[in-house]
Amino acid sequence: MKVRRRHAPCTFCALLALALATSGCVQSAEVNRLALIDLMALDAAPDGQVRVTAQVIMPTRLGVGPASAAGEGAPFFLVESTGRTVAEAVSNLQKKVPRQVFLEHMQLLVIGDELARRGLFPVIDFLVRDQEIRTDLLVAVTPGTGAELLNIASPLPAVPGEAWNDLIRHERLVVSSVRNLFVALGEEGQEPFLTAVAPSSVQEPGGGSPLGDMELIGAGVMRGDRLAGYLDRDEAIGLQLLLDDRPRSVVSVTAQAVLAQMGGAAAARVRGGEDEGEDDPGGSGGAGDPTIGGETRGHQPVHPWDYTSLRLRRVNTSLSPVSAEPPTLRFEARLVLDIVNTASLLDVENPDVAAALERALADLFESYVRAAVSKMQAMNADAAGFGAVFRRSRPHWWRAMRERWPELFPQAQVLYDIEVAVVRTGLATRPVGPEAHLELPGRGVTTR
Amino acid sequence: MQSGAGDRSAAFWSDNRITPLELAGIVIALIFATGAVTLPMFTGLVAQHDGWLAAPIGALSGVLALAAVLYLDRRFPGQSLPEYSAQLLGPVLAKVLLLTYGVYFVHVAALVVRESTDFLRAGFYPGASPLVLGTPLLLLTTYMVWHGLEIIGRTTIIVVPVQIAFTLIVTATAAAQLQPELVLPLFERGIVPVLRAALIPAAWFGEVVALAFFLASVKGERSRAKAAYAGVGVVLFLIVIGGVSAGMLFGDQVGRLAYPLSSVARFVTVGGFLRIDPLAMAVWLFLTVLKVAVLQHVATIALARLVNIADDRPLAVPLAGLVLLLSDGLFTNKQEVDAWLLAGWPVYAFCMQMLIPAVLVLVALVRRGPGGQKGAGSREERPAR
Repeated sequence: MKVRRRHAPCTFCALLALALATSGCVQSAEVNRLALIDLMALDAAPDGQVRVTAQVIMPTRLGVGPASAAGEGAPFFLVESTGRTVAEAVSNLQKKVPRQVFLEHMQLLVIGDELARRGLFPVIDFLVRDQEIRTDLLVAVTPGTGAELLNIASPLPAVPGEAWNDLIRHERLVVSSVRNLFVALGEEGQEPFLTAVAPSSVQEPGGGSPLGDMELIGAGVMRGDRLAGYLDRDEAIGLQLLLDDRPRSVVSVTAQAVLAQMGGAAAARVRGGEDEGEDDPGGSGGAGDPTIGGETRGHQPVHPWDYTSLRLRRVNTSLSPVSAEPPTLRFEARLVLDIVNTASLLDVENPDVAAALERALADLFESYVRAAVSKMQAMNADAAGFGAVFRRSRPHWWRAMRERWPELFPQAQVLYDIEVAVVRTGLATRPVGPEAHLELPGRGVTTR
Repeated sequence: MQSGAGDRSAAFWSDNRITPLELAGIVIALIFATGAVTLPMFTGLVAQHDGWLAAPIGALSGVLALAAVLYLDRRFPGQSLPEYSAQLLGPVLAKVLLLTYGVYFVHVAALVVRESTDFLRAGFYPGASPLVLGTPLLLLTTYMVWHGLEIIGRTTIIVVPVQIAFTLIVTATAAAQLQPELVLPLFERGIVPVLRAALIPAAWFGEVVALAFFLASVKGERSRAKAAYAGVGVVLFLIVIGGVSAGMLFGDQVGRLAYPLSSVARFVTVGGFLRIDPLAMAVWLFLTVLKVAVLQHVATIALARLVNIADDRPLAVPLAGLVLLLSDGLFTNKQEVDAWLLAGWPVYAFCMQMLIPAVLVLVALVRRGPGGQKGAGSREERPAR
């Protein structure tokens, strides 16, 4: 036993070393030997080839390391190469970069329009198969070429990739990752979609050189693995609602639309913020309508360009089949929004106005969804997964009809049931604009 | 039986007793080690998004095999398969049986090592040699086998809870991304693909047949049965959780991912930047070490009893070399491994895990019949002493 004990530390160390070696310390990747790829673009090249463009980060220009020279131009350089497949193109890229091309930190993959229209499954196969690519990598499509987008030196961040990743994830206007595409390719009755981005221009102050950045322009929808067309931003919100994703976008509704929901007389009440009448119920009691006075001082017309903007906070939607011939679905949505800006004189604190605002928003979202549906039907691209809805709840019907679905999808009808709740008004209550009553003869003078 | 070296052997084994809790850990490691990472792929390949439904059906085979092993254990208290098979089948058939099981467990151990080196090479070290990856693993298991069951049992107490926690953490962090509708409708292609897929988890759950070789070394007559069943239950829970989360993330495409659960882990980032899949791999690998150790231990016992060696420790070393070489040499590539696991393995496993224990139980039942329970028991115990 004593002999054993003397050996115990040695044994322990040896076992520990073995245990660590079991997970294989075979291949090492030193950070300073890697070429970190921040953004990558895939475009169509002649002869059916694929062109890869990559932003390789130059860490010294990021202001790290001893020999850093931060602020000397963009902290990345671009390399491009072509190949018959993505893997081959990336391998060719490696031949031009003197360090090990490292894809694990890639923030965003941009696919050019032409390649997307040619068919994406070979690309997605690479993305799923390669061990350096994360399944949550964002993938976007751009109407031009991806290379063009990568050529932009984004003014704000040192490295654009991370910022663009944040932009897509924060604004959440249709987010597509490798996983989404992979799943949608295999899911019957559901077609893939992609975040659509495009270059935008921002100006340096004082008329300096134009800088570029990326902007979200909506969504690209696919038929099979091919890009069929684009949805604009509003339609993209519609698609997101259909998918029960959580758009975080801001939407705006006109004051007129809200007033139309309130009907003529009621609409008149809110003009000019006569909620004063409610504060002082006795003041105009004779008329029976406490806000009737508003009509008399209706000198604050609601302009057609008066808007109230709201941010989507919570989205809960569902699609369920109603009948099969023609395919009819019920779209139920429960949306929660916050007011972020009242660019009109609508008194959003007034319960009547708030209710009308909610109804107007419901109409607005319905129009978004309708627009998305009709555009997808025109392209015959079922990105919202109407077919999958039928497949899940009526498997027998689907089995008989799956061949005919491309004909049936354009005829699909949607019944809308949208409920909107506006729950908060931000840090302000009423519109901060000029209050009408202050300008009334007498009142305004006396208070001053 | 082997009264020649009986004293030393008896002392050795009485030292090496494990608790029921450790037994449950061994059961979990035995099934979940390789089942965790590859099982959703195989079931997904056969039954698409319904693959996770195959696990509960497959678990039945584990329960049956376990019931058989436990029945034999109750019938022959204090003995394990090498001893009671000789009583039930006679010395010659018993030797054949031991040889069969010895080969089988070496084979399975090689398969497990192969799966783990393939997994490491596919996901993390594409250029590494399988022998380099397999050697430290087998050195560890050989150390464990050399020191006996107790070491394996105690290691499970450390490793298995970590693995369970990790599986739950991975699935919980992925929960926000899960799309439950992807596993609907249930039984989309009917029940037949699910039943066919169930053959594969059945072969994993059936691994509990290895318990027949060391159940007698577990303390507590009653509680060890409970612990073994509980272990199967925990594994079933983990496999279903893993399968459902893989299904809800990847839908019908699960079968197209070589290691779905690892893909789930790859999908998870903690705090936006911390990636946990290398950790998940390490944790999973330690479970594999345990599984290989158990299999190697059982193979060692079977072969030692076959050639009547009392002290079976020296056998562990050559077996480790054999397992290592077989793991590399049995298959030329991963496609072959997958094809074998999908087609040949369920049948082979069924014979070893279900058929043989069933035959043993049947013989035990028949032989008990005329003599009555007590009479038969005492008659059979006599020659053993």
